[in-house]
Parts: sequence; structure tokens; C-alpha cells
Amino acid sequence: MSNHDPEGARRGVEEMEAKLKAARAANPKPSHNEAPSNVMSQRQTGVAYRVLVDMIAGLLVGGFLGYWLDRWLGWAPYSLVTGLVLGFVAGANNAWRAIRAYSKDAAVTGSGGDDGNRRLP
Amino acid sequence: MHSPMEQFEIKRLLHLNLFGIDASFTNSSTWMIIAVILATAVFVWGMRQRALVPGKLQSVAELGYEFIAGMVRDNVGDGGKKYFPFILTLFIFILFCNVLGMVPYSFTPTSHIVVTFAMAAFVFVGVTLIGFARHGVHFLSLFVPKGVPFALLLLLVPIEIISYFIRPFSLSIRLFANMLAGHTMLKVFGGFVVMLGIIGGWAPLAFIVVFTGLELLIAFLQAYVFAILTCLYLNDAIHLHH
Repeated sequence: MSNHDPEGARRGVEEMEAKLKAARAANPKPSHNEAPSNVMSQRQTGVAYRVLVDMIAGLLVGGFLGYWLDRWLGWAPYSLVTGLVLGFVAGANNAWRAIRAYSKDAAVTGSGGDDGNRRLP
Repeated sequence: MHSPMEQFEIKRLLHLNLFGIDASFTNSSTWMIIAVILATAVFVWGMRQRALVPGKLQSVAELGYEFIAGMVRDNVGDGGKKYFPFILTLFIFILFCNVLGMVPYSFTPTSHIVVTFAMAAFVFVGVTLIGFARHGVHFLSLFVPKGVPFALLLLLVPIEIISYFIRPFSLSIRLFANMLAGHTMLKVFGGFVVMLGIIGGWAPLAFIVVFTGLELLIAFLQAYVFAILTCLYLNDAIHLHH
């Protein structure tokens, strides 16, 4: 089937639609909640990866910054400690933001029904 | 026995020295070029007929396009259309690098932090420039949370700034660590198969089969996460809220 024959293509689409309708009638959809929960679990995996690495990267960046300041200005060990604490807080901040965005979406789409533990304040 | 890290070794295929910088053509570059060529082939060859009812390859190309188009529409909204080609390219390139890395004897460019950090740094600098170009100095209000007393701002603004600068690191570490860990794990369990031999080697072999499937999922998922985070950062820069 090529684009040089629009009439034939249109007929092809109509035929395929009829076939699709017949196939859908023959096999009714499986239970309706299966698809969204699958989509959601993929997003959950994505959010989990974000949270994990956000917190580690926060520590790494803060620690590196503090270490570098120590070397440069000779403030050892205060800037390393401050950097680690700030980095941890910043990483947790990023992670919290990811979780909050996700839980807001989950509450809106309502997948999981009245699954209360998914909602955060 | 080969070391599990041997697969990540960079080999120079073509020695090249540009003004004192080692710019040799390596196995990593080769596989990146293969990824680019294959991705281009899927899109160009797949769309050559522009059929109303898509064939197999055209379905794949359209699926990738629609997937990213929907992602940009949902996460960036208006004003994001301009950046859609960039995000599609980024996603497809990472996806092809990741998936091609699953081919035996191949090389995974995304398992090196230089590659992933270069991409993440490009996204970071680009997004920051877009933010400044759109909002000027007002872009800095991204670092000031609303409705917070002044005393707390002294503490919160540095945290917000560090949070912002963590982005390229978390973006690159996530992709690189996932690819590195997965491939190392596969190689280690491959070593177990050889060590345990014909009697006990079946258990790790079965694990490898399952784990290869998981790795394919992760290859897709990491490309997806990279693309969606780029969208979210772009959204922050364009609409100035989070």
C-alpha cells in the first residue's frame, strides 16, 4: 500500500477498522485496572531511581565542594562538614520534590483508588 | 578469567592528536556513531513510504515520536514545542546506546561518566541559558521559596542553589551507574556459569536470562528518565515554578 493511491489507502483503513472492531468484539478487554497500574508502576520505578541518586549526588556534590574549600582556604574540617550537611539537605530536598510531584499526580489520576498511603501532605 | 570491568576499557582505534589534546577515535566513538546511524536509519527508512497505515518500522518510528511529543506536551506545556527536536534526539540517542550495549561484544558508551556528564552538562547549561534569556535576572527567583520569613531564607537559598547545581550530577550519575552496574553484574554471573561448570552453572545462567530482560527494561527506563528530567528542568526554566 503506497501513498500514491489515496483511495486505496482509505479503503484499507476502513477495512482495517472493521477488522479491528470485529477483533475487539471477539476479545473483550481484560480487567480495566490492569493497564493504569502497570503504567504507574513504571513511573514509580522512575521516581525510585530519581530519589536514590538525588540523595547520593547531593552528598557527593556537597562533600566535594567542602573538600575543595578546605584545600583552597585551609578551613579543614569545617567546610567539609558544612558541605556534607548542606549537600545532604539539598539532595533530600530534590528527592522530596520528586516524591511530592509524583504523589500529586497519583492523587489526580486516582490510580490505586482510595489507597491513602500514597498521598502525602 | 577476564575481569568484569574489562568490557568498559577504552581502546584507541585511530590515533589523533589535536593541539595537544588526545582526540583519538575510540571504540566508544564507534558505537556512538553506530547508534546515530541506526537511529537515523530507523526514522528515515521507516518513514520513507509515509503510509497512512504504518508498516512495522514506521510504527516504531511513530511510536517513538509520539511518546516524546506527549512527554514534552505534558511536562513542559506551551513553549516546549521548540525544544522537542532536542529532547527526541537525546532520548533516541541514549536509548540506542543503551540497547546496543546489550549486544554481545559491543560497547556501551553510556556506561562512561564522561559521556553522560557531557550530555547532562549540556542540558544544564542550556536550560540555565534559556531561563536567563526568557526571564533575565528574574530567573534567580527560582532560588527563593515563596512565603518564607527572611531569617529562614538565609538558610534556604543556599540549599536551593546547591539543589540546582546537583542536577547535572544526579542526571549523569544515574545513567552511568545503572549501565555500569548492570553490565558488571551480567559479566560476574557469566563468570559464575564458567566456574560452576556443567553441573551447577545452570542456576546463574537462568539468572542471566532473567537479568538480561531486566537490563533491557532499565536501558529503556534510563533513557526515559533522562528525557523526562530534561523536560522537567526545561519546565522550571520556562515557567519559573516548581
